[in-house]
Amino acid sequence: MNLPSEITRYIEQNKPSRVLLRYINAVPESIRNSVDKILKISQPNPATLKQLIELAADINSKTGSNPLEEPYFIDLIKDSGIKDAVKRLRRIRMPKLNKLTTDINNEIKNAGLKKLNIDFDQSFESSALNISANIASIKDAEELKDDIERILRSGTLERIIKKYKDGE
Amino acid sequence: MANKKVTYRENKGSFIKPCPCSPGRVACNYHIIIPGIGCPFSCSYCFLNFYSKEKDITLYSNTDKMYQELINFIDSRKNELLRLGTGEFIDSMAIKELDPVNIELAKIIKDRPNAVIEFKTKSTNIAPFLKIPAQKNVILSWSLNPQWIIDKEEPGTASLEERLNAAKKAIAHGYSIALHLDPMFITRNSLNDYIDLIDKTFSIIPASAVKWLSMGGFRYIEDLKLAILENNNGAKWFLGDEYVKCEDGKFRYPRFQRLKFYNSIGDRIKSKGDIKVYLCMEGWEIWKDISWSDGMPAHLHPESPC
Repeated sequence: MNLPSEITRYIEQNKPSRVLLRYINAVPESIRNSVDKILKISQPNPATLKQLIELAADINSKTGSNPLEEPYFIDLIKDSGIKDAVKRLRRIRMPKLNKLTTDINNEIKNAGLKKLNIDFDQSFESSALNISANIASIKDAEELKDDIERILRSGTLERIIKKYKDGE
Repeated sequence: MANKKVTYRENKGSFIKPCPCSPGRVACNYHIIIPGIGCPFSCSYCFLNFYSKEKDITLYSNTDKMYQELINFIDSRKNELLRLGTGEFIDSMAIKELDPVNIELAKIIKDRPNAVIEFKTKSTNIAPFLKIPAQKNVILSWSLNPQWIIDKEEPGTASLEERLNAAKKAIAHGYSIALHLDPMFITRNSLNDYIDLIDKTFSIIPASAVKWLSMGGFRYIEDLKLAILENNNGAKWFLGDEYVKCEDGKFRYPRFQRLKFYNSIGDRIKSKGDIKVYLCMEGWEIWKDISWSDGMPAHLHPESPC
């Protein structure tokens, strides 16, 4: 396959993995052409480029349109860098998981916890939340008790569990 | 059906292997018999898209070695209940050249009650099995999906209606059957489609004839994804869904989505009769929240034939 010139140059200079080469060749031509344009203004490392291409291909599969052709995208790369642009694509790619993660983090942040740590598996695969606390004094223990009472009384914990376990 | 050539070669390795399942997942103690590799169908999601470099179908010519290996395998495990099947690397029934092999395998297993053999298909080619008396330990099985998924992703295969009617004929002849909802595709509306599929299936098939039923959400490794992209001009609708990378390296729909499907569909299946249901390539993290299970996978129950 004849690849666009900037991609060809990138491959010569970076010797990317076989997987990245397969992605470059497998994605629709419009994505290859967009990547060629992006390489004129940014030279990401191969891992970041792979993420960019894969996310663009996934979004294209879902929506039927190439997200790299969105007018804002080149500006975003110029203003914030390619890594931020990849983050933006990831948010578009995973809207439900991103919203759940944001919602749960906001619930935790707004709960005003002093001692209690609430962690969760960002891939949502583990069946339970991980709740922990470091206690070094009776005062710590009392604050922990207050934290637990607050998240139970306010319904915060129930909302977090529901979002985490049911995705709702 | 794509016109794939059948070629023969000798298998220098083993014909019977334990199903590899996936690391950290609950295995179902299944053994694979490998009469060949390849499939006349071209399902978009099939692992053969990357697993087998050969586009055609290879059947192994040294079948006598396979038969002897099967005899030795079963007879050396007389105290175990063995579940074997040929449908992992090949469609068990869709390849005419396999018909005599299937009948010979059935014959071998006939007087070996510690084993059952499953022939899994997306075809309707049950005629060879109807020419012999049905056997208790020969299970004919079908993979099922809603018709719109068959239309999009399983080109050349029998329609849902045709598969169910073939299963009905097999049952009428005296066979037990098995069913597989694998892979299931999770979309905004597909839960209702799978519920409808269960209702339709059990309006045609008596639950008592179903020996086991498996469910598994679509999952992939990167090689499969690349093969799907390469085979489909860089795009395939289901690749745009949200997946998470699991500990075994496979990408799956998020846990809460899989659970909702497994529970809703499993409950519907259980409402049709006492059917043994299990999940394919899922871990305890899923099993312990399955509504229709008592916490132990059905195939691990001592009385289970699975």
